[in-house]
Amino acid sequence: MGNDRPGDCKRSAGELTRVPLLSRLASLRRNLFTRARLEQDLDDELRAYVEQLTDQKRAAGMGVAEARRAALIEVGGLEQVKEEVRRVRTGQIWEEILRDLRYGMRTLRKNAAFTLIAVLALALGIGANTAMFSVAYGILMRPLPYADADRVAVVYMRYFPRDFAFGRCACAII
Amino acid sequence: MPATNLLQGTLDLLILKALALTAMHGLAISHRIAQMTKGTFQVKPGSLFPALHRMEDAGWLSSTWGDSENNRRAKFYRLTAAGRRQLQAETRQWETIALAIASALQAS
Repeated sequence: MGNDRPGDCKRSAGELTRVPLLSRLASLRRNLFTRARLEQDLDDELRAYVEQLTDQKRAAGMGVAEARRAALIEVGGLEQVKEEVRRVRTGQIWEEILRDLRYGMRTLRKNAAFTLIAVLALALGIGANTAMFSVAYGILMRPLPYADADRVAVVYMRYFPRDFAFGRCACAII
Repeated sequence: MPATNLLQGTLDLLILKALALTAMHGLAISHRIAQMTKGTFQVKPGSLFPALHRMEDAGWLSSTWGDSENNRRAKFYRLTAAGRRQLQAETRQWETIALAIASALQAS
């Protein structure tokens, strides 16, 4: 079937694709926590497939070695098939995230100097930001501790002695 | 043998349909699909097994180990109740699509 790949069978969203949450959770638990058994199972399953195919080819008149070779060619690489199956398992994404995290940790541990500088830079940045915003919040944003704080107004006066010299009244600006 | 690309979602429907009557192992499913479609669809293991495992994860299929017709151990898949509902729903959807495409192509 030429180039059809498992990705091609992904369906558009819709009522048909809705998988019951419970069954999804069960699959997730199975896929994450019984991996070794699952892998063994998959291996057995594919081997059985190859053997059955070999049997059929032998029944059709091929020699033992020839039949086995033909069967393996038809399967097209056991490891590739396994990889495709692993890709569609529920919870694959979590496994990948975990793998990435572990890889990240390993890399960081290997480059201790880089890690230290990065952590320091981050710590400084976060610290400075926190300090600044604490102050800004205290000064600019925190409501005043009075009832109807939004109706409090600032009243002040300016006094211009110079204006008095010309005999004019001082202004009060509210 | 003609090789035809499966339409998106078609493989699931074919697998569900193939398993509607009885439980089968992987090789029997691909033979059954070839037979049902008069050889138009040859499902290779690279597509078949990912689909089977995905559908099992989805709860449409359940699997058990058993003995095949020539006494080899094989993993047999069967439809669950959810799988049967899925087959009905997908069949309805497919009929709608087929009808729609047919009338579109006949339009002048």
